[in-house]
Order: sequence, then C-alpha cells, then structure tokens
Amino acid sequence: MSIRRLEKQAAVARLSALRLKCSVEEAAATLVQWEAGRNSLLVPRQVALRELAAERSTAQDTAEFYKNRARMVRIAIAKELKLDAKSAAKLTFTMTYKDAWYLGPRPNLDASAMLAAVKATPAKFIELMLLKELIEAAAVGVNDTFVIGGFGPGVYLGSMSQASKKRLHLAESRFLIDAKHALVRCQISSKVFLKKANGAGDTPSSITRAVDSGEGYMVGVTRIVPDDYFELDARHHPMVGVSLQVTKIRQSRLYYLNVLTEFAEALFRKAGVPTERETFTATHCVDDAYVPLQPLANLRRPLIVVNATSQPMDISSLAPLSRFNDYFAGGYHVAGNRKVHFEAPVVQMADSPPESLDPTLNYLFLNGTPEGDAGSVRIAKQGKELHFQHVRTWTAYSALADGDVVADPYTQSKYRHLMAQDTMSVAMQGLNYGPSAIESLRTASEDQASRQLRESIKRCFVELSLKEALLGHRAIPIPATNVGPLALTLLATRQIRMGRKQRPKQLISVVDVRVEAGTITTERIRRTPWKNDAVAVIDFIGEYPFVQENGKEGIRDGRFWVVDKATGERLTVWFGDFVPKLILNDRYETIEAALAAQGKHLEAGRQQGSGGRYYSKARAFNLLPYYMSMYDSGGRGAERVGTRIAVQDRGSFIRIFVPPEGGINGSGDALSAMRDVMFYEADGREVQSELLNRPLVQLYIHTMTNGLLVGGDNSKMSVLEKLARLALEN
Amino acid sequence: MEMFQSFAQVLRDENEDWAAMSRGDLLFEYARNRWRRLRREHVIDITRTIFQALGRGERRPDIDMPRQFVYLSSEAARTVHLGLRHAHELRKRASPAQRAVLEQIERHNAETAIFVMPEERAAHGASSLKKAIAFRQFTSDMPKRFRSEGHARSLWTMLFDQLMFTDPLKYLSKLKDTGVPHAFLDGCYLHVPVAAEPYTKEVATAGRTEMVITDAFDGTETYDWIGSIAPDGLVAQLSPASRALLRSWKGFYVDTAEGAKKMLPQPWFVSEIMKGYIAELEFMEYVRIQFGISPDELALGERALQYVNLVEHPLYAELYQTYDFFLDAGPNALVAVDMKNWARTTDRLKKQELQDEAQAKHGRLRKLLPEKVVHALYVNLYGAQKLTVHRPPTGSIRFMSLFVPNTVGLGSWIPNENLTDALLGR
Repeated sequence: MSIRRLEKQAAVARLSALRLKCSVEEAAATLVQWEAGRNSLLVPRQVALRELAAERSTAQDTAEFYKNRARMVRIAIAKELKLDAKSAAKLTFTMTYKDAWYLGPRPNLDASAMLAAVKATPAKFIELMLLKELIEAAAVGVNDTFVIGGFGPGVYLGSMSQASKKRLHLAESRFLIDAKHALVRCQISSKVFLKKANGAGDTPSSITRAVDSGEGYMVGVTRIVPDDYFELDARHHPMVGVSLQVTKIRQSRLYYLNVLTEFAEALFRKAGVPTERETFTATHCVDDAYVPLQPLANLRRPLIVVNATSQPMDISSLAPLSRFNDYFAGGYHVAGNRKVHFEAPVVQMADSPPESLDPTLNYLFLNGTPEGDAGSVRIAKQGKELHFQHVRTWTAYSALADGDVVADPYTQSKYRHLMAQDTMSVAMQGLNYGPSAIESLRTASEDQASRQLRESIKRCFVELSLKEALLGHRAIPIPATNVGPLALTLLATRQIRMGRKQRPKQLISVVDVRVEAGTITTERIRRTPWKNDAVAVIDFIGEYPFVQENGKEGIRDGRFWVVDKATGERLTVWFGDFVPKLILNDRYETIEAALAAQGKHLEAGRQQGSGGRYYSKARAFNLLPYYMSMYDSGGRGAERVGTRIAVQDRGSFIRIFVPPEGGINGSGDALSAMRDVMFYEADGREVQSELLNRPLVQLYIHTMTNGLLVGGDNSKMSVLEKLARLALEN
Repeated sequence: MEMFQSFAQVLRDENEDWAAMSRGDLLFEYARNRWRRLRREHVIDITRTIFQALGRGERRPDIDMPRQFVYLSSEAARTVHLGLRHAHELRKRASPAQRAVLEQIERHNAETAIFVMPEERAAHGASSLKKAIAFRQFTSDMPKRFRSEGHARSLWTMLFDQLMFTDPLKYLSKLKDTGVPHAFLDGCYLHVPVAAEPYTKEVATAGRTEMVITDAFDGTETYDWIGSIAPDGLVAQLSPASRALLRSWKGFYVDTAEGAKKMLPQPWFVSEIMKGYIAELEFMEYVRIQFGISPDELALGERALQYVNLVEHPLYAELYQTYDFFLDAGPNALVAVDMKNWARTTDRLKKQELQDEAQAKHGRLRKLLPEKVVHALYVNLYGAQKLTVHRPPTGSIRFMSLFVPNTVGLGSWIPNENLTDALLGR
C-alpha cells in the first residue's frame, strides 16, 4: 500500500476560509473606504486588560473572575463611548489574553489618521467589521444596533426556533484573520446560556433577528445581555458537527460554518475586497494505511490496580478486569463492524497507594467517580487533618512542586513519577471509576452506564499498552509501510498559562525512536521537569533551535516535529484553528442551494412513506465530498467510504484529510479536522515541492490509527505524535 | 526638546502601531525607554562625527602628506565599533585613513576579546541565561520564607556585605561558608581575561530575556557596571563611603589556576544586590546628615526622628524586609521606607503593579500596628517616577528620589530636600 495519484477527477470541497487576493492592510483600507461611503467611521480600539482592577484580584481563573473582568471591560468601553448603563450592559467586544477590542469612533482623528489607525491593526479591524456587519445584516430597526459603536463578539448564530427558549444553544461566530497568509477563517464555538430567573425587567435579555440564508430559510443572529444569563458548560450540551436529518442539519456546526463563510464572502464582494474561496481537492490518496489495534490488544506486564478511593476493594470486585471473555464478550469495537478481543492481563491489587512505583509493572488508579464538573484532582495543605479541595491539574502540580501540599494519590504519583522527572519510566493510568462501580458491572448488562464503563476500561488498556511501547517494552507495528530503517527524534511542546503573576510553564518532550522492519521502537525519552522547566527548555532549544520561533516569546503550545537524526531534516504538523474545515461540495453556490437540490429526492422519499427525513449521502449529490465520495460526479464502481486518506499536495505543504470510518453517520457525527504537513531541510530551509517523495512524510501518512487512539474510528493524530504527547503530560 | 523630537521620529519609524498609541503610552515610553530607543541613533551620530574628523586630515590635496598619527580613545573606538553595526555605508566608502583606523579597531577588539571560539560565545549566552534565571529564582523565593524561617532572614542579611565591592573572592567564600546556595554564588561574578573589554548583548530564549556580558564581537552596548548603578554625574555627588566602593570600574583582578583574570559583576547581580546596597548606604547617609542619627548608634534623648530597633521588635519576623527601614517620627507616627532601585531600563515592576503592591503593603502594616499612623515612603536613588496613589484611610504613601537633577547652579545632581519633610511624616 502506498501513496498513489488519484486517477479520476477528484471532487472540489469548499473550506471554511476565504483567501484575500490582496494584503490584509489593503483589504482593511478598502473596507474603511466602503465604510466611509456609508457615513460611518469606526476604528478598532483596545482596552488593556491588565489595567483593570479585576485583573489584579487574587482569585484568578474562576468563573466569577472572568465574569467580573468582562463587566469591567464593558464599563471601560461605555465610559469611552459615553454610553448609558442600559446600552453598556449590551456591549460586546473581542478579547485576546492581553487586550479587549471593540469598534468605536475616534472623533479627534481626521480621515488619514483614521486610515493609519486602521492600518496599524488591520486584522482586528476586519474581524470586528465582519461581526458588526453580521449584526447589522440582521437588524430591523435602529435600536437593534448601537449606532455609536461598540460592537464585538457575543454575536451568535442560532436556529430561529430556539430564539425564545429559556436555555439558549447558540453558535458563537468568530473570524480569524491570518495576516501572513491573507486568509480569513470562519469559526464556530458552541455556547449554552441559561436565562436568570430575575432577568432585567423592561429591556429584553436577548435580541434575535433573522438573516436570509437563501432559498427562503432564515438563520437567527442573536446578541444577549450577558448579565441576564449564566453560561453553562457547553461540553454537556454538545453541538452536532454534521447531521443529515432534515431539521437538525440547520442546527449543526456544518450549517453555521457555511452560513458564516457565505456571509463573509458576500460582504467582501459588496465592499469590493477581492477574495477567493479556499478549496480542497485531493491529488493523492492512501488506501488502508492505518496502524491496527490488534497487535497491541494485550499487556506484556502485570497490572497493579490501585484503590485511590475510600471504598473497600478486594480481588473479587476486580473480576471484570481479569475475566475479559465473560465481561467483554463483545470485544473492542474497532471499525466497520470489526472487533478486537483483548487478552486479559494478570491483575494484582494494591489496597493503599504505593509510595514508589515499580517500572516493571503497569498501574491502574481507580480514582472514583468525580462529582459534577470538579474532576478528580484534589489537593490539601499538609497537616494533621487534610481538607481536600478540587483544583485544576496545573495548580495541583505547582502546589506539589512547592512542596507544602498533598494531592490525591493519582495526581501525587503522576507528579512524582512523570511531571517532576526528566524522563519517563513508569506506565500508569487513571480511571475515574471506583471499585464498587467495577464490581457492579455484570457480564450481560447492556445499559448505557455499563457500556460507558466498559468503554473507559478498554480505553485504559489501550493507553497502558501504548505506554508499554513508549517505555520500550514492545514495538508498534506499522504494517502499511516499509519506510526505514530510520532513527527519528519526536518532539512535542506544551505551553501552559499559569496566571498573571507567574510565568507560563513550558514543557518539551523529546523521544528517540527507531523505525525498521515495519515497527516503531522507542529508545530514549527526555522531558522538561515541571519545577525546573525554564532552565531545561533552554538546553532543549540549544539542541533543537527550531522549537522556538522567536526567543522573546515562549515556545508555542501544541507543536509537534519529527526529526531525521541522520540527515537533520524535519517535518512539522499544523492543526487546530490554523487549518480550516471541509464544509460543502463547491459545485453548490450555498448550503441552502445544496439542500434545495435534494428537494425532489426528499419528496420522493416522503411519498414512498419511509424516507424523506434525511438528506441523501448519495454520490450523485455528494453534499460533503471526501466524507461521502472522493470523486466529482459520483464515479463508477464500488468506492469504499471512510478508509482512504485524501491528500492534497499544495507544493510547500501537504494537507491530509482522514475521513471518519464508514463515512458519515446521518443522524449525527463530528466534523473531521485536517492536518497540514511541512518539511524542512537540515539547514532550516522550507521545502517547496515534492514533499510526498520524502520518506519522513510517507512514514507520517502511514501512522494514522484505526480503533487505537479513537475508539472505533480513524485517528487524525499520528501514533508518532501520540508517543511524544504521552511522554509530555500523560 | 531635541531628544523628544528624535524619540518621536524613531517611534514612528520603528513602531507599526504608532498611530494607535495613546498620549499616555507615548509619554510612558519616553520616560522609561528613551535611551533604549535612542541608543542606536546616538552611536551612529558619534560614529559619523569621528569619521568626519578622520576625513578632515586627508582633505589637503595641495600639501604633501607628512607621516601622521591618529590617537583614538578607547571609548571612541568602542562607539565607532558599535555605530558601524548600523551605518554600514560608512565602512563601504571609507577613505585610507578611516580604513587604517578600522583595521586597528579590529585588532584591538581581537586583543580584548573574552572568547576565542564562536561556539564558546554562543554557549556562554545560554549558560549566562541559565545562571540569571537561577539567580533571580533564588532572590525572589527567599522573601517568601522570611516570615517562617529565621535562617532565611540571616542569610539574606549576609548577602548585603560591602566586600562585594572590594574583595569578591572573600565575599563569595564567606557566603559559601554560611550555606548560600550555588544558584546565587555562581551568578554573582564572571571571570574574564585581564585585557578584556566587556560589552553586553541581549539573549532571549523561550520568553526569557537577559542582558549578558560578552565581547566586541557581538556586543550591542559597552558594559559599565558602575554606570548601571548611577550615572557618572551622580556618582560624583554620592557620599565618600559609596564613592570608595565604586572604584573598580575595570573589574576585580584575581589570580586563578589559569593565571591572572578579572572578575566582573554580572548585570543581574548589579541590579538586584549591589544597587540596593548603595541606595541603602546613601539613604542612611542622608538621614545622618539631616537628623544626626544612624541605625547602629541609636541617638540618646529626644529627637524628632528615631530608627526603630527592628531586631528587638516583638513583630520582627513579620516586619523583616517588608520595608527596608522603620523610623519613629513622634509618638504615633511610623515612617516605613522601602528602597526601590528601579532605573531607566531595569524596572520590572510596571507602574500599576507597584501602586497596588504599595497599597496592599500599607494595609498590612496598618493591621500589624493599629496604634500607629503609617507613612510608607518609596525611595529611589534617582529618577523615581511620579505616581498617583489613592490615599490610604490613615497615613500616606509617597514615591521619592534621594537625588534629583539640579536646575540651578553647577552641580548636576543634588539631594532631594523634600525628603526631609516626608521622613518626618509631614
């Protein structure tokens, strides 16, 4: 199996981004002129967060702190704009970690000074303008917009049917302007608000106005009065990524991303800013290149189960962990209706948490079921009586480093045996269930809770198996490629903001691996110890200077590199906000047009009596290419969906799309992210073409996993990256 | 005005966001960072002048040139060396006399280098940064232990010994015997060749930035450790005791296993320890002259002002190092003095943080000593910034300088007379 050129015409997929055909400064200037033509002159203005009194309160990173700070920002903006209290409550703005930004008039500036002020921060200006126009597009009357300025985020999209509910499920719209590549990226984050019982009396707590999204459908643009709502943890009310169900599709991430991208495109067209759509067209594909779970579905060494709860535990209560055939008769769902059966490990028991851990064993800590959102990390001041408090993981590590606290057994062990060390030597894993929960598992029970527990236990075993590989006790097979032999160094980074008074923590892991005869073997692990990170990072940067882009700033969070030790060539992978998402077949003008194209098909389904409730994922429509089909017009013959990796060679980088196994699940599925791979020569020069001929790139593409890193699905993360991340903080 | 104009020009040339700057930002930048911003223009300017002077000797086409000697001061040589970094065109179109001078400067730089190999120089940058981080970690961690550990308090007091100005070896060995950790000891001085002419450069890695000592090869500014305690004009006005300590501007000559060397105080040691020591010395001298009292010999009888004998104070552990000096000004008033040694480029505390911290500290002191009216006084050797502080419910918080620039007469700096009233709690 190898990378091959696509033989048929590949489908063109639209991405959630627009490319400016001029510089960001020129685009901003064009927008200003357009804006001036409408007698409205606003410039980006900033509020430095550090100058607000809230910033200096001691209780940082609590919900109360963020709320209070937002209130202070609103007060500061209202003062600048001379707004009354009522309008001030509605004020919205965007924030970076340093500043809050809003659009406002600067009456003292003349036209040229104004242009200069906009040019100083062109990206912010474009971002704020897009949000402002989004509100104005939906405004009915003058009172719906604040004519004197002060626009910002808190601009939400939502289905109109949701508009008056007590609980609002909304999609926060954001536009990211990438000045270097002249890209405008559209983003959605899920937000859930609960209205307070005693909301402000005479003014409405939220305003929702409709904008036309085409074909007679409307989408709601909402602004809320922040003080009248509680924000809930949106993770408990997830927004579906993509659904083909006829009503749910208009409440999905996919739909909102389409609407935002269409809106931005239309606005730029109106203002005369030249743009073009970003698209993805596969040039190559890779068949069945995944790392399988089967060879890793066992533990080489005995498993010690540590009871970190106050519940009683005896060996009989651990039966589910040692009798896999009975308790996990269904095996481990991999993908495509295939199952993998784990071999049961040798289970031993430690009733009290051991002081030091033995590197020849695996440890599973039963942390008990956490209450609510609190998590399982707790610390207490040292003393006769321990009063444990829930804290964030990083806070716990820092407190442990200072030495005057004790933490829950898992956090304590993890700090002592991993975070405080300059290498990794012990395989341990935490499970957020207690012994009684495990004891209550029955061989035949198929209810939701049992299924979840089984899934968690299986995940723990996969992780422990990977940690055995990381510690050099086993090799990871990569059957789909015969690249090698290669000696590689894997690097992963983490930057953790620790609060205003402290410097951020900077962590780097460096893992040396050998790739030969179709396997990956770990040889050495180095990492920055938690307490001594500042000095350790300097040493790593001395060795690998590319880890930092600019010495004056910290290392970037979440980066990953693969370095060929023999040649010094390296590969890096970008993902996250930087990389847009695939949102529609580009042959349709808008999402509504694409849905309308299926009108006859839905109608036919309804008349037959059974169908009509779902949009089709047929290749004839190919609504969402690469999830559904790689080919332009359906293609002929069988096309196995969801196993091929689509690759777009874009010269200086390659973009990789890993589809969900088995294609899209029509009732609801997550959107898949893409990854961009770049390649550098030993002297740091960026390679501009033919990246796919490089062994490192070929290896990387063949190290995605199936059922291994994501339960029952393909992973977007390479197993190489997983190894480096495990050494970093897992 | 001229300086302000150049500053505004530099800002406009270099800061892309100058148009978005507020007037307050501009004035703050000017007050705090003008030298850093104008340094480049300054060396270019002087370099041009020197080049012009060198050229003048050659522009006599009608006279046969006799043999000429050019004497260049080492300071001028260093300035030309730094200036040419930015004004490349001068080197390109240099005349024979100018080229000859440049050659001699190159030779001089090689003779006064600290490092032989470029790798050595790069490694020194990284190791200096690590030393600075460990040093600053130690000095910022220590005060956290003052309240609970008597040992930490005595250790801290030991660090402030005048031997650091006169005999570094003795200073270090004394501290070593007391158990001061290597994090501090290794970060105090740097051994360099006797002939070395030190420069500094900025080293930045992973978000940590320090000025470290280097040589002409990659230095961006000459290193004058005494100058970073006080400007030349001010040193002349300091007390004889301080002046006696600030003599070894070339460094401290020592014999080592590898032959004769000199020791240079590291920039972070100068700003965190040495400068504080001189400022305290000057403060005590000021109080001695004005009020005739000193901390070690408590004055007899009734005086308007008295040092509080902290060691015998019941709240010694709580009060230690919250402020540097405590003075009784009458039966109910307490003046707490904190020496702040911020300077043009070394102030790490931003204005707002400083004000907040001052208020919080004042509050703590009010709680500890409820029967006293507390006046907190933040004293800088020179160049204190005017800060507006919310008045505490009782007492006061003030920021003042020991020395202020003179506006009349010849002396460039004079002791700040307003400080007397502030010390009396008025």
